Amino acid sequence: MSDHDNYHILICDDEKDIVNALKIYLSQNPDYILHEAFNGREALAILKQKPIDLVLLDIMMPEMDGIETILKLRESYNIPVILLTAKSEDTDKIQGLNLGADDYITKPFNPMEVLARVRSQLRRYTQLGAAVPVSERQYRCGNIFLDDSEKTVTVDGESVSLTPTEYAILLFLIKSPNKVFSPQEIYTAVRGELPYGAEGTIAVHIRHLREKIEINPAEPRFLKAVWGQGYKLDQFQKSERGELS
Amino acid sequence: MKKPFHKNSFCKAVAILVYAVSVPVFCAGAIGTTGLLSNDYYTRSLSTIQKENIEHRLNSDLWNLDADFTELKNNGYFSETISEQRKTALYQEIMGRYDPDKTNFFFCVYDMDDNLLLQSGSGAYQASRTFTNNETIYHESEQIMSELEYERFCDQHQYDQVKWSMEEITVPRGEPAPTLPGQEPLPETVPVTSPETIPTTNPELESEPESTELTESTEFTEEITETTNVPISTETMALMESPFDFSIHANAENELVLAPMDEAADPDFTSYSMDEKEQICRALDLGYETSYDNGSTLKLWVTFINYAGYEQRILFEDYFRLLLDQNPDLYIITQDGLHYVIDYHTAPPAMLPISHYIASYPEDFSLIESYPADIASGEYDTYYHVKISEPEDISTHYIVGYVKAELTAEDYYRTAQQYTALAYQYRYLIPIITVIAFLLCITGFLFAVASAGYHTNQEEPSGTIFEKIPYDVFTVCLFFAGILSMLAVDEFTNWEQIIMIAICLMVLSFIILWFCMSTATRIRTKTILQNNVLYKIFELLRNLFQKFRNRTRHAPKLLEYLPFVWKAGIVAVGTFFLDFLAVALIAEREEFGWFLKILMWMVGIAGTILVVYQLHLLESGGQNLADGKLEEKINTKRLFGVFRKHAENLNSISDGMNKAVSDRLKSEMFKTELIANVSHDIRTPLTSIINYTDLLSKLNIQDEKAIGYISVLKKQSARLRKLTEDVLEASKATAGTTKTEKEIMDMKVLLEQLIGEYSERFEQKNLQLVSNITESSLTVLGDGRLLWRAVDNLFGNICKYAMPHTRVYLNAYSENHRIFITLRNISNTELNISSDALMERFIRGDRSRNTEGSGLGLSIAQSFINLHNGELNLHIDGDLFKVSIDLPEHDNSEINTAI
Repeated sequence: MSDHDNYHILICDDEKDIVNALKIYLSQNPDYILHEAFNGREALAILKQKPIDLVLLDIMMPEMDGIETILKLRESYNIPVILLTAKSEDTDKIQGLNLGADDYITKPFNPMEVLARVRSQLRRYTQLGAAVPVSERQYRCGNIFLDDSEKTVTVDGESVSLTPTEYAILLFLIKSPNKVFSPQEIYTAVRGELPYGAEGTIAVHIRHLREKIEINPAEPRFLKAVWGQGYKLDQFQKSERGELS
Repeated sequence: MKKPFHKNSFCKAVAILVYAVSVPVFCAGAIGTTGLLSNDYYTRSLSTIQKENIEHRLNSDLWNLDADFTELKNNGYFSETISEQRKTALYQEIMGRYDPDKTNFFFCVYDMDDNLLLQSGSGAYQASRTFTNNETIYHESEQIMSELEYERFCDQHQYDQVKWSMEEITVPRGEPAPTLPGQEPLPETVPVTSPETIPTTNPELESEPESTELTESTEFTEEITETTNVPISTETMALMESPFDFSIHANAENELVLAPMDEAADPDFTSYSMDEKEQICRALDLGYETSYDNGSTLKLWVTFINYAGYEQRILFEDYFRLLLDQNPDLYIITQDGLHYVIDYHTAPPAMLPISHYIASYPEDFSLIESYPADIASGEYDTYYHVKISEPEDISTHYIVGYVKAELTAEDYYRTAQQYTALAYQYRYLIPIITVIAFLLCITGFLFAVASAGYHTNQEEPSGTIFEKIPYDVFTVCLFFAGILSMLAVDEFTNWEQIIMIAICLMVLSFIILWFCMSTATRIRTKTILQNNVLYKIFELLRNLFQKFRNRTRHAPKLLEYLPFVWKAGIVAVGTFFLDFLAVALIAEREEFGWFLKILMWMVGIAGTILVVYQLHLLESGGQNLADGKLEEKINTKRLFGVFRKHAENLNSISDGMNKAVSDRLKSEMFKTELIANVSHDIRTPLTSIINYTDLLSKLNIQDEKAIGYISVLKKQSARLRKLTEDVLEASKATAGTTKTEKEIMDMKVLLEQLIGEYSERFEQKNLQLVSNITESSLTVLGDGRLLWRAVDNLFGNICKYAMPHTRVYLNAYSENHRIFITLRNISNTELNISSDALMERFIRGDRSRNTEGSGLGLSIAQSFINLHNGELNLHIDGDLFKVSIDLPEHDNSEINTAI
């Protein structure tokens, strides 16, 4: 663990240009101390020398690829690992996450998203840790924290302002994470009455809510649409962490 | 070059000749030697052997006599057979009178009327035994001679006559029994005893003077003895007392005419002139001559061939007397081939054609039924006498034995004696000749066989034309030739026969040699087995069998060639006939018929089930094929015949399709993989491009142009990024490698969700969405993500290409278990392109390609809809762009079963 203000971030990619570009973006934040490696072996060597707080890891690398690296890394470190990869298949994502990655960014990536995810992971890892709801009326899903008693919602520790409908929807969903609710059910639960054809409005509310709590609303991590069935709040990452820690 | 002997044709010929000559010599010698040895020629004297020989033959003849007596007794002539005592006496008599160098003899048996009953004995007459009974004359030989002829014969050949009366069987007419003549051993006593005996038996013997008269007349034979008097006198007496008178003469037409005679009979033809006598002889076709006898009187002598085959010369008067004597009733004479009968019964006797008598006295001629036809036809050119008259009371019979003092007659007694003497004379030479002949014939044989097949001019053995004859045919032919040659061998009692036998033996031995030589040749030329009819037949059969087997090996094929319809037809016809048979059997034997019919039904039912089962297997196989289950093959083990073939065809189609599909799949997978790899490889540089473009845009650049360029870079890199993703997606979708995780979902919810997502973008484009989803739910079984992608692409297209400030219509409804979703919008640009072309990848509505998007949207959407057994259709009507999706509705009632 480093001191409170500075975070040691290890960027590992065989493509130097990408490493440089990431360094440029990340160096915008003065708190970040950047380290670079060009393959898994180097990354592991640096990890031993420096107190790294977060690793950005490419999968396809020479000598030792990202998958192998993350397996070795997880043997001794609990730090967040974000996979950067050209592989965009769902199976690749699931494999990476299952092996111990905390997040997954496909190439070509949006630099801003990378920054946001790095920030999110660091904050959660350093500040919130494995915080659990303290009271019955507090709910947590990933980096989303909802305190029903105070009627507040924080994402990565930053409070988010929601409309009452959006809040009601999030509250309804966060009470039963991973469960799919149809728009009709959500509507009924939120409004206390049957929709009678008005459930189409739920989709718009969900989109708005997603824009507020998701880093990339086009690729939501938590508030996911199950097409043709409804919506759910995915607690996948939390459970994943729980298994690993 | 010196040739071996056995290869010389000349030597071979010599060997064959030696063999041919030596074989009969050897055979004769071997037979002779065997006879010599078995008859003990080397230790006994010739006279002993000859006597034994004669005794042996005499025994045999007596045995014959005995048999003949038995026959006569059976026919009622004798009450007793000739006794053993009598036979012994007879035998002793003959043997006592027997002189091995001279004697010859035979027997005759007469009844009291001097009728010849039986003759037996040696010599030429041995075979001619004759006896009579009451009704019929039995004759075993055509050599028949009256007792008179015998007497004449005996006269001629100087036989001594021995006459015995048979006292046992004598039933004299109240006369005392005769004395035993056998007791007088000397031939001189015979004429003395005969007059003694005969008067007791025959009262006609009173006419002694007649007999002397006759002896005088027969004095023409120089060495005549008194012994012949007795029987001749008997005959003469009979003749004298003949009740008929006749005269016979030839008329002017050279015909024999019977003329009536006065009381003054003219038995001696004294009234005939010499001319007349000659005329008669001519008429009767008799040889005659005139000569002077001892008394210097001119006499006419008749020469004729008697029945013993000997030429006989006799006085004309005697001849006719004899004829008349023999034929007291009827006398048949021949003239110019015509037959006449001299009828004694008529007075005067008439000479009439025999046909007249055949008509007049059918009873008489029935007794000689074998003759009249011949006689009437004129083919019978000799006469025959028939005794028709009833015999008188039979009283005494007597046997006359004729014993010849000098051995002159050519009978077999004499022949045997001659041969015996000859054999005795050469008894040492014969074995030596035999051995030499044997050695010669063996040598010749071996040499001939050894040289068989070789010829002077040829080195290699070769067959003659006879070796071309099949061996077995050759063998059989020679075998039969040998048999034939042996058949010719009969008895060897005279020289002709012996020569014949010798020839036959030579032929036979030559055949044997020929056979052996031919066999040797065939062995040498190695044709003994092949050149055989049997072998050829065997070969033929073997060939046939092999052909047949070859055929049968291909038989299943042949059966397959037979059209199936024919096979079915054959089965049907067979069934018909079986059924017919069964019906017929029911009528005949009910239980068998019913059994057959029930059996047929059972077989029929089983067969039908089998065929239907086979059809079912084929049908399910075909269904599998149609359903695209190419891995499921038809099990051909349980099929047969045409069904199996059909199943194999289906399987091979399925194999072919399977291969084609898997090939296609492989190539598609390969393509997808290639695209995936390429897109991955593109992504890394693309990441840098995007990132650095972004970084560039964040630099403080004042140059307007540079800012413009950077924005172009940004836009195009973003497009490139989208393109790579879409290409990958599209390739996966069309290659069918996209994995679908189907679950029950609601298209209505999906559409609402999408509308929610797109509401902002529509607003931005000033597009008004008119949604008309009538159903409460549109349930499908599908992968939500894929269906979302499909509809999402459509919505995206609308956002991209729809004319702003227009309405977009969304309709969704279910009909006939299908869900129909239609999206209609007005195109922003002119759609001068067919809907099919729009569906093609990388084709977009505008050809400029300067708008955002990859052009793969519709194609991907269609692929995903197809994955759900749905259809995506485009319809362009001017600027109206219509997309319709058609998905199978998931039946709610099937939810449970589907999950």
